[in-house]
Amino acid sequence: MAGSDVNPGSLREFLAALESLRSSFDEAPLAPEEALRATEGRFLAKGGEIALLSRSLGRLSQDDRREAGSALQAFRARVTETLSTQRRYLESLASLERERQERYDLTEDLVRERRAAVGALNVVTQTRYALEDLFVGMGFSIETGPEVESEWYNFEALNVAKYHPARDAQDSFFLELGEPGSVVLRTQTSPVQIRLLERGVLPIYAVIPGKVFRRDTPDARHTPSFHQIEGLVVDEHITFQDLAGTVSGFTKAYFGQEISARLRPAYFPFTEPSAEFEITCTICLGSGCRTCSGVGWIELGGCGMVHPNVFRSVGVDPERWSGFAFGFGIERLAQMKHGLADMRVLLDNDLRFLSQFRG
Amino acid sequence: MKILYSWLVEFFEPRPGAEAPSLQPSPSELNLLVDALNSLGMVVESVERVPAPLAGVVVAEVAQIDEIEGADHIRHVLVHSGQESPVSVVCGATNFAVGDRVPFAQVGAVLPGEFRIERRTMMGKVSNGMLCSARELELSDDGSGLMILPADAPVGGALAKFLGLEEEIVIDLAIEANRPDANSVAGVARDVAPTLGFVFRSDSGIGAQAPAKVLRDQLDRSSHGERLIGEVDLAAVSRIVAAKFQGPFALVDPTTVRRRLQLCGMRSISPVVDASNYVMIEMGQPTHPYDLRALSGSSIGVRNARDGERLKTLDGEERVLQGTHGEDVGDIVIVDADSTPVGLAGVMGGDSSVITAETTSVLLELACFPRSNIARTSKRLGLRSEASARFERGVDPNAAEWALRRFCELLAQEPLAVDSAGPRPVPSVTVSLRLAQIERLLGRGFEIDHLRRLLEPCGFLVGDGSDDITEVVVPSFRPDCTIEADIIEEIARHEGYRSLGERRIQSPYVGKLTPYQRDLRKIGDFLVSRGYFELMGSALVNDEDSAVLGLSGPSIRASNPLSAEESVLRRTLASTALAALRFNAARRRSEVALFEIGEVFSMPVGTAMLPDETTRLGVMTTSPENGAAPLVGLLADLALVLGSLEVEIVQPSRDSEAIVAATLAGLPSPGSWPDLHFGRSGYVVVNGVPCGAIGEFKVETVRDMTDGLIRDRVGWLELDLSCLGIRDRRPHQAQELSHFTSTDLDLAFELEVGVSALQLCRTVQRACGDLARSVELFDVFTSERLGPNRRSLAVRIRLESIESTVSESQLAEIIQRVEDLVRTDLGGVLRRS
Ligand SMILES: [Zn+2]
Repeated sequence: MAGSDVNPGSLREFLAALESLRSSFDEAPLAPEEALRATEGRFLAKGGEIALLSRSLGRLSQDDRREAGSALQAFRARVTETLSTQRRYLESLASLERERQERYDLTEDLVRERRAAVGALNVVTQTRYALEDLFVGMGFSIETGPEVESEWYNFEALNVAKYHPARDAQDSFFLELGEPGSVVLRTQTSPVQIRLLERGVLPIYAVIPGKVFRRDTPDARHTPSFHQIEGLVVDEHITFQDLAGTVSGFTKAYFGQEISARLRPAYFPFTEPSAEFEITCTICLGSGCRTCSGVGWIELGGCGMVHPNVFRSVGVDPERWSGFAFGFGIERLAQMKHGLADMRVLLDNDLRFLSQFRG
Repeated sequence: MKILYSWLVEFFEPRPGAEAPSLQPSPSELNLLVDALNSLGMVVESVERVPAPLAGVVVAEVAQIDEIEGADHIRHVLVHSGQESPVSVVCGATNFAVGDRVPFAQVGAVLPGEFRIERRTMMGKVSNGMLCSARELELSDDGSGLMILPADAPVGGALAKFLGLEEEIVIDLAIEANRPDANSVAGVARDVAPTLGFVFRSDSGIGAQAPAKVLRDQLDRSSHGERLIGEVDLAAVSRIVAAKFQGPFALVDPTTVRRRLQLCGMRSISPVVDASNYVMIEMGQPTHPYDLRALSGSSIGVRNARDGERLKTLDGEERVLQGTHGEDVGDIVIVDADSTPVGLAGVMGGDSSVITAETTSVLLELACFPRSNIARTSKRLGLRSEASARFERGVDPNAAEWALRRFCELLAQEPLAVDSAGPRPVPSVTVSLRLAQIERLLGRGFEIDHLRRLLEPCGFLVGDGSDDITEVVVPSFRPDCTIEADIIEEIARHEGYRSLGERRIQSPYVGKLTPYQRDLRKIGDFLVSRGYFELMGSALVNDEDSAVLGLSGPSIRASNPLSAEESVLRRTLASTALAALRFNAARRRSEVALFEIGEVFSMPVGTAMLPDETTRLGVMTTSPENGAAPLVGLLADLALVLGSLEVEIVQPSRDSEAIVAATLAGLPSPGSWPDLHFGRSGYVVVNGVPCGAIGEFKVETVRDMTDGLIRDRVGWLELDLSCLGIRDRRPHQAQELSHFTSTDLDLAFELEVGVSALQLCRTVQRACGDLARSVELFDVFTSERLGPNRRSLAVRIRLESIESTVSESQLAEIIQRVEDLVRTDLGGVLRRS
């Protein structure tokens, strides 16, 4: 109101009028939204105070006009800036208020009943896939065979003759098919070795995962069915050193650099020389603990150079080809990796157990 | 097998100039032994230090003996036991005098049989302990009076120390089935001595200095003195030696023999039986003593048993025997001169000739029986003895003389007569060994001198041979070594597996999963992302499930199941999935989503020997009202994830049993698919081939299989995964996209309920031709106005052309074509709004 009736004729008067306009802007209300709009109209509109004052510029001398003009321009810029900052501020206040109204507790759906839409592969499958991937990376194929086998594939062709003590050691489930004792739930994945050799595509670099069966009453360490993974390499010039190198390479790749493997003599009818392979105890890293009975090593599986009788039983010339095989239990590895105290938990398919292995 | 450290080292002789083995090993010396045993494949399961026995029993000298008034059977005795004043004891024995040295169990001592000595008062006299007989200390069977000790026994000193009973180290070894030689102390010693830097001595052990002088002479003749061996079938025993002894029998060192047997897990029985057992553990040669008076004709023979023949074994059981029939080998019996069985060869002796306290003369049998017969007999009769375990694995046919000599030494006996049958020595096996083959298998070459150093200390003889090939003579105690590879294993074993080196193989192949293997992983990942958990089912299930699930035809049974619950091969994955459902419902988890990829089995096809085995996918979910619906959506999405799979569901209409039968016949392995809810199930057809079932379990099936714990409906999808192989695996070719806006056309039809939504969509699609990008159902309703057998289905057709937008006239034409085709093919009526 101060400047509207002023009509300055000199620079001094002009600046005084501008000063008065300035102070009236400083006192003008900037909130709420309607007041802000009024203030904007009062100062910046076509007939607003700044426009009115600018009209009196023409009455000033050229030099004075320049000075007065730039002072008025600066003032106009300040008003514009102040009002736009204030508008943004008011908008964000309004938006904040709306969002406050729309509040949603994000943790509700983090913990909502029956939220989980993610299942899990069985821990045995997860372990098997990890092993398969590792061997695929080493140039192996993955091969499988039937779970029900003839006595010939499961025993005879593997150099386990009729009354061989090794047949007792692996008490088998026989089926009421054909001659008594002629059809068996395979006790090992090794019959697939025979099937691969029979196929006759040499060389062979293969791993054979699968379910096997032993007539054992379930206890903390044994279940009547479990899974093995078995490797078979047959080529020209394969030696025991290749076996040792493969077992050791696999161990480091699967368990980590701090875990090593070692071989010691053992007996299997289908390999000669035969070995058991042990790895550094994964719990104590070799210093000795309860899991490894204080010795720092854990027995993992069996291996050896393919017995010449096995080659002969499928018509492969042992003078030209040599090879090695190794095998171990997949559950046993899962047990070590995930600390399963009792293997029987794998038989129940208890969702409280299955759902622990989503990740 | 348990062996004692002290026993083992008796067979170690130091190399010239080297130190003798330590009798009291330090932990590091013991570790060296354990490592050596492990690295040779004789795996140490445990090492236990057993303290010296008879703690608290000391040597005492009798100082004074007084009668007790009014007592007939006990006396009051004062003994010096190393304390300042004599100790008062009450004693019932009378076989001692003042000045005798006797064992004294002090208060607090615990005698064998957990008998704790306490302070007692008898007839007014205080007894501060007990004076003991040898029997009470389990040192011998003599319980007739106090054990009188030699006059030089130190008064107050520990009795065990005086008797040489030290702490013992018991090592439990796991011996592989191919190492019969290592089932004995001497065999283990022979194998491990070179690794530890010792020489194996064969003539060692306690009693080695006993006066048994003449054996070698006696045995070199085929028979000495009277005949002890009658008829022998040399097919039933490769070699047999018999020796006759006259009592009385006493062990030269009963204390050591009894303690060693006990620590190896055997009971002490009598001097003769103890000596026999001791020889078996030490040498690996089982022997059997007979009471000679009980043997008719005072001789033994060997033959195959006859079918149905009976024998009472020394455990009191009557055994019915079996003869040999061709390859089916039977029992072998030891017989007397009348051919009456007196023992089950290699397994257990007969009851009639068992050694008793009254036995005065003994016939000792040392034989080598065929492994397979003993294994069969012991398995058939469920009778496993220390002897049978050794015969099964193979006993050294040349060990009898050595073992007989040790038996004599232990008892300080000289045989009155010795007799034998069968060749001696049994011919050796010779194996040709190519030096190049060693390198070919082990990856490393060996000089012939090196081979000699490795093999000869263990009993092998390495011939001179040429540079390329040499003959190796295998010792008779290693029947497992018959071919070149066996000898190469021996070389590797004694060189040490760990010192053979390693090499990384280089596969000539690029490793990758097959398309089928990739599919299986995709299926698993897809189901997991939809909230399903993978279960692992057993291949063996309960046959009662077959009836509950409505499977027709017989199951394949296990001939020796562990239980009825797991006795037949599963024909469908449903039984194991429902078992998992029941298990979880019983743990208050009744909303489940499970799947399995597993094998199912049905009867062999045609002349096949093995069952028809296929891999199936089973998916189960619970749902409050409709179990099938979530699975149909899941199946549709699964087909998209796998690609190139066109899935149809053929659902029997309300009254067409014939269609059910026809479709069922088209499925692989009929009789192996569970019966499902009639109105909510169908057969899955993939790329035109029927390969599975989908729907909801019958309410009754769920009730029976889950003990009524599940109230929800249970959906079930089961697919034979061989269907994955019948599709075109060529990569999908990208289609050109239209630049023109598409048009949606919504049409509703009234149809009979037997007409499926899939049929409608297919028909509409056909009517529209290429112009229809998709035809999808968006509404279904029934109403009284439509009538009970009719329903309305509404579909949305998205029309799109690559050339132009769809014009009004095209639209009208399409509507007409769809209307006509639905009417003629499906009997449906287009609803006009
Ligand atoms: Zn450990």
